[in-house]
Amino acid sequence: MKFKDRDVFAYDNAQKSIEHERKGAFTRRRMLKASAATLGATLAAQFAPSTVYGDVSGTIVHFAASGKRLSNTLVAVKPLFDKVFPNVKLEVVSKPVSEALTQINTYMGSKSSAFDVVSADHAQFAALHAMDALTDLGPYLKDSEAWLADYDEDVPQMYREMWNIPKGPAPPGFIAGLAPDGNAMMTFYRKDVFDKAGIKPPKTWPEVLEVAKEIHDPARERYAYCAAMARNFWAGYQYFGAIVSWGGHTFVDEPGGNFEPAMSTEEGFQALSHLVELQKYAHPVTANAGEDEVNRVFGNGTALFSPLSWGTAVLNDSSYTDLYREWNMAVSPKGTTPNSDHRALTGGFGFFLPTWGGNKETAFAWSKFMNSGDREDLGGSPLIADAIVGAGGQLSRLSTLKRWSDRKPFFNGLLESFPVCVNSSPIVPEAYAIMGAVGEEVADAVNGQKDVEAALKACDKRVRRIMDDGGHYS
Amino acid sequence: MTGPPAYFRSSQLARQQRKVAYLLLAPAVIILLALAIYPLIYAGTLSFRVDPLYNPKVARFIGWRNFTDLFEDSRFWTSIQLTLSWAFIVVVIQMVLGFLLAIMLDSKIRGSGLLRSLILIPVFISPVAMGLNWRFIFEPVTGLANWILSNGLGFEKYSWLSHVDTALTTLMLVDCWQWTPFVALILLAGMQSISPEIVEAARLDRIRGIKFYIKIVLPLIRPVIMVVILIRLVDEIRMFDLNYIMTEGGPGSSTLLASTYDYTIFKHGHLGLMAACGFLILLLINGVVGIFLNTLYRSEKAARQENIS
Repeated sequence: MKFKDRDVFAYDNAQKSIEHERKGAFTRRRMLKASAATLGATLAAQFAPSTVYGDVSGTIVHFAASGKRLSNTLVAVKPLFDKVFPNVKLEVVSKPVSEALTQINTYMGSKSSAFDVVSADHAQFAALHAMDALTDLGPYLKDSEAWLADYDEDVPQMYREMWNIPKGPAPPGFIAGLAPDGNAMMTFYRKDVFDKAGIKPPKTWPEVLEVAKEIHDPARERYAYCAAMARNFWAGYQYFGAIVSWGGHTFVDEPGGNFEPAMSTEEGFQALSHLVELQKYAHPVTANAGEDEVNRVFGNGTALFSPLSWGTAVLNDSSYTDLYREWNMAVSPKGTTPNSDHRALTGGFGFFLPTWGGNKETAFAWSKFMNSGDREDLGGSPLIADAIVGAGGQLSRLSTLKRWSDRKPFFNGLLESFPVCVNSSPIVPEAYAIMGAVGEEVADAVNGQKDVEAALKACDKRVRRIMDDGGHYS
Repeated sequence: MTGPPAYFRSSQLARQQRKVAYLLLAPAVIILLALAIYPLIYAGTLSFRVDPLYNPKVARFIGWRNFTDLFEDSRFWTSIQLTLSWAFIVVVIQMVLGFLLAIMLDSKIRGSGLLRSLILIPVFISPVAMGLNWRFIFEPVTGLANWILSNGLGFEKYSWLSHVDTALTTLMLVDCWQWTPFVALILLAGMQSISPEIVEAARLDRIRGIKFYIKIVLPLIRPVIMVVILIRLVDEIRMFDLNYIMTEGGPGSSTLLASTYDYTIFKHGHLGLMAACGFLILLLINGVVGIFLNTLYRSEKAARQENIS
C-alpha cells in the first residue's frame, strides 16, 4: 500500500479527533467515537478520490444524536470526506439521543445558527418545516442529476419520500433531507432458540402469543418477549406498529382529511389488547424500557424475541454481544382482520440544512457525500458504506444493504421490510406530541393502570386536543 | 413614614451616597430582573397561551384553558398526590434515620470522625450519576441487588423498578440513602451546639440515654429540625433528577412526580401547558411551605406563652 500526502492528512485529522475525545475522561462513548475515527482513517488510506476540491474551504458543524449508529458514522466517514475536501473543517457535535431530538426542536425554534447540518428523526421533519427551519435541497441537487437518479434508484421510493414531505404542508417536490440511515420496525428473534423449538418467526399476532407462550422460560431467566414500553414515544411506536398491522390508523382518513382520531376502534382495540396480553411473557425491563434497555437484554441473552422492535445493527455486532450470529430479523406480524397486512413502521435519521446555518454549499456537499453510493464516477465510493457499517450504522441504500447482508442479518430484515413500509407517524408538526401522548396511555394500559378501552378513548381525546391546538379543525 | 433626616436628604453628600448605593445595587437588580423576574412574567403569560414548540405559527392566547385542562387531567392529580406522599414519607424517614445517625455520631465511639466523613459521600454524588448506578444495581436480571438477594440470601429475584407496586418505594430508598446523611450532619451540628452546662445538669439529674435525647436534646435543637424539614420538604416536592434518570415517571405513571410530569409536557412541546403546570407546582411548594411556617410560628408562640405562664 502506497501512502500519499492526503492519507497522512486523513490520519492526522483522525488523530486530532481521538485526542479531542480523550480530553477529560476516557469514557466508553469517547472510546467508541475514537475507534470510529480510526476506522475512517484506515479506510481513507485506501481511498483515492477522482476529484479533490482544494479550493473549497470553511467550517461545517454537524449536530447529531450520539452513538454508534448516528454521530459515530459521521466521525467514521469524516476522514474520507477530508480527502475530497482537504480545506473544509468538519466538526461533529453530539448529544444523547433521549435529549437530542427535543434539543433540535429547541435550537430550531430559537432560529439558532450554531449548526450547518443536522441529523433529525423522520417524525420531526414536518415540525421543522413549520418552524421554517428546512432548506429545500432541490436547487442544490439541480447540478447533480446523475447523482440524484442513482440515489432515487437505490433508495426505496416510500422511504425517500418521507424526507420530501410531499403529503405535508411543504410544496410538492420540496426535498427537505437526504437520509443515509435506514430503519424499520421488525420482528427480532433468536434463531438458535426458534430452531431448537422447531418454530418459525410468527406471521400473525395470534401466532405471536403462541410463540411467546412456547419459548417463555422465566425459571431459567429466558423471557420470551421484550419491547420498548417506556411511557413516551417508545410505547407510542409499539402501539402504532401494531395498529397499522391490523389495518387501523391514527386518524379516520389518514393520510390527509380532517384528522379525526381513530384509535378507539376495533383495530386499535386488537392492537393494544395483544400488547397487553404479551406482557405475561415479558422480560421485566419491558414495563419501562427504551431501546437501549431492550438491546441490552437481547444482547445478554435473557430476552428471546420481539414482534416489534426498532431496528438496530448492534445485535449483529460481535463487539456488543456474543449472540451476534443468533439474532435474526423478519418482517413484523399482521393482524387477522380483512384489512390486516404486514406493514413495517419506517423511520430513520435524515440530514437537513437549517435555514439559519452557514456554508450552505459546503454543508450540502458533506450531506451529499454521506449519502453517496458505491459509484466512484458520481463522487461516491464503497468505502463510504463500509465506514458507516463499520462504525455501527445502518443504511437506506439497497445496493449497500445487499452487499453487507450476509454478515448483518439485520440488513436482510430491512430489505424485507422496506417494500411494506409505512410512515412511522403522521406527517404533521404534532407527530412527536401525538406519539408521546399515545405512548403514555399505552404504557398505563400495559402496566395495568388503565383498561384498554379507557386508554384508547384517552388517546383519541388527547390527540384531538393536540390537533385542535394545531389549528387542524378550523 | 420614616426616612433619613431632612438635613441628610438635602445634602450633596447624601445624594452622592444614594447614587453609589443605586450603582452598587444595580448589578444584583439587573441579574434578578433578567434571570428571575422576567422569566417568571414570561412564564406567566405563556401559561395562558397555546405555544407549541413544534409549530410556533399557531401560538395564541387561550385564557385559563391550560389550567382547566390540567385540573381535568387525572394524571396531573395523580402526580400531585404522588409528590405530596413522596415528600411526606421521604422526609419523615430521613428525619428519623438522620436523628438516629446523629446520635450515633455524637457518641464518643472510636472512629466516629472517619465515619462522619464517610457517610457524607452520598451527598456529594451527582444525582444523575447516582441514579444511573442505582438503575444498574436494581436491574432485574443482572443487577447487584437481585444477585445478593438470590445468591446470598436465597430470595427470588424481583423487578424493583419495573413493577408499578415497588418502583416508587425503590426510588424512595435511593433518595433516603443520599439525603439521610445530610440531615444527620445538620442535626449533629445542632446537638453539638448545646451548652455543656445543660448536658452536665441533665447528667446530674440522672437524665440519660433515650430520655436525654427526647427530653433535653430534641426541644433544644427544635429550630434546627424545623429548618432541615423545610429544606428537605422543598427539595423533595420539586424532585426531578433522580426520578427522571431512574424511571422517567414509569412504569406506566407509577412514579410520575410533579416535576417529571411537567418536563414530559415540555418534551411533548406544549410550552403553554408546561408553564401552567410549573406555576401550579410553584403554588404547591409555596402552599406547603406557608402551612409549615405558619404551624411552626404558632407552635413557637404557644411554647413561649407556656414558658411565660
